[in-house]
Amino acid sequence: MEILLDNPLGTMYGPYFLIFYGFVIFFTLVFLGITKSRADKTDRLSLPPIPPTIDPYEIAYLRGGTNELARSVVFSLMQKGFLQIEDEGSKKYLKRVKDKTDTARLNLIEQISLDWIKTRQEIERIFQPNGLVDQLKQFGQAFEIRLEQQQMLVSDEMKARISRLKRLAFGIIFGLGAYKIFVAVLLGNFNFIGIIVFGIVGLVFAQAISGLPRLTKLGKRYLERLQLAFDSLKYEAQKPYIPTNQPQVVPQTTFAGVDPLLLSVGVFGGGILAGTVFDNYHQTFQKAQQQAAAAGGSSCGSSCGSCSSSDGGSSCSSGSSCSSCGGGCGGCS
Amino acid sequence: MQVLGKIKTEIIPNPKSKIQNRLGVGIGFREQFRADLFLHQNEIDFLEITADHYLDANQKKLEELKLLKQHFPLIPHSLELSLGSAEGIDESYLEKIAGLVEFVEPEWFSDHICFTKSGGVKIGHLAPVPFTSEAVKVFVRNIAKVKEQIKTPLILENITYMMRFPSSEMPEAEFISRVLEETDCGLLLDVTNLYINSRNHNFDWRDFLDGLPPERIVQLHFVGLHKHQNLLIDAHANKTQSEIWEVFREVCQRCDVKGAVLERDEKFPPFAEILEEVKTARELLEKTNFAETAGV
Repeated sequence: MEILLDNPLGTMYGPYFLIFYGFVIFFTLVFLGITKSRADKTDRLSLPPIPPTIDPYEIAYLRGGTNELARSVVFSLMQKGFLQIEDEGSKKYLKRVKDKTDTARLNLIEQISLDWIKTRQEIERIFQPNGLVDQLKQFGQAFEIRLEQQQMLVSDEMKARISRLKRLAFGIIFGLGAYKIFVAVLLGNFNFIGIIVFGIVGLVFAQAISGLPRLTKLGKRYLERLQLAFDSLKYEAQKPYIPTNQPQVVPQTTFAGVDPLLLSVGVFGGGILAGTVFDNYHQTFQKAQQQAAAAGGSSCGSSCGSCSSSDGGSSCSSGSSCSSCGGGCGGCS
Repeated sequence: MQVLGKIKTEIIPNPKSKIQNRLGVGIGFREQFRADLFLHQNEIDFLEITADHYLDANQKKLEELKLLKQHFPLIPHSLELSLGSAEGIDESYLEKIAGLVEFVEPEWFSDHICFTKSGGVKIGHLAPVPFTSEAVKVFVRNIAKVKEQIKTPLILENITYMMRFPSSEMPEAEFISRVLEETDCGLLLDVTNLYINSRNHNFDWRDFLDGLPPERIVQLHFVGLHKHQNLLIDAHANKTQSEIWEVFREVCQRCDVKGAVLERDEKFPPFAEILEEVKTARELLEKTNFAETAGV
């Protein structure tokens, strides 16, 4: 017991200990940050080429997980005329269009989504338990496996390694502070508010620094490259859908095997629909996802896409704001 | 990315022995085509990039260059070497072109048989030179300088012109042939330019072809011409007309063409129309392939 109290740390004068504690926290955080940054070595890999046959749903998944996948599928069904948004008071619903029954040309993911919607579904329900997001998990898993193999997504192994480091950092910051408070209390000294403040600040920073983005550096670069490649498509694809008094030609819904607007939504997010006839879709979905998150759904609190619930799902640590997912923050891990 | 050149001193041998690979049919890259290109990668054999767009370029253009390089064989086509300038070559421009060529690693690169600078001032368009022995010497001197810096074969493109210099000493075909032989360069034959010149200046394009060394024709440019009153203009804004296809076909029958590029710069049509023209060119290139018809 004596050694617990009578040692250089235990007897260290309070202000000196605070300085020492501050240094320990600082170097722990620096170590955590550097180790996390080095854990992702995918920036050394060369970017895979853009395939000639491209799947907008897979890109949507890359950008924002199953939430983005669900949003893209619903958009596609709206664009193809199977669904429409219906207002009823403060609630919004996805409603099946009655006379649109030719589902033979829909792919499996679209058919399953349409089956889930049946005749009508509250939009908020998409992101809640047993919602559309849950229905599409099997497709998400298939994309996940493929993208992980390509090292576009942060692997479980990397998550586990960073998690261990985080626990170690938490242990150091919390343990050192707790020890000094313990000694202070034993010695009848209750002036330890500074240690508590330093400790809390250190733990908050450690939590923030140890957060991993969904995408690896390679995944982020690949997404940026896709956005560069299809930059012009974004504007071209919007044109036929911008309301005008002029008579418009109904755009073709296939283009090199993929609809250009759907591809744009996959690559850039629903934000590109602002100002088009689908503006309502974008606004409705952003709101619905926020409400679903507030109600304890699986979203990360905005249109950012998926976050793992283990991280609380409340913040994006990738450096970009969660609320600006139109450009693709890549979601949270 | 470093786009500054390293000095190279090796002299290029005859392009006939240097350029072996047949690239096929491509298009001149324009930003408007970018998305379509990636969705139709298998239908475009290569891209010709305007070299000047990537000199002193911002990060986005450099990323674009890397992106294009990863997906397509690229051929840089420069505008400002001004090989016909009596005052010589702009060395800083040449160094940048050398850097770009080194990065792109093309089969060949190209510029024009013209001058674009005079007294150090850019004149803003491709200006013709008089077809004289003195002008040939200028080309020889300038191209030797280019070859000191750039190992990759250089090919030269014929341009259109509104008037002929009264001081010209020889026909254009002879002038081009002498430049090609004395500089040991290949020819980028713009069949649209050839046809336009033949109509505007009343000569037979077949006679012109007779005067060219067929073994030096490496690449073709083609696009539709624009008619303005009695004048034909190379506006790069129209679909390729049948008369241009006729020249194209004839050239393919006479020469072992390594590549052809559709040059469209204005009034961009739906990409399907571009692909249709590329397909037509490919069919002509394959059907009339010189190597096959000559039994090589």
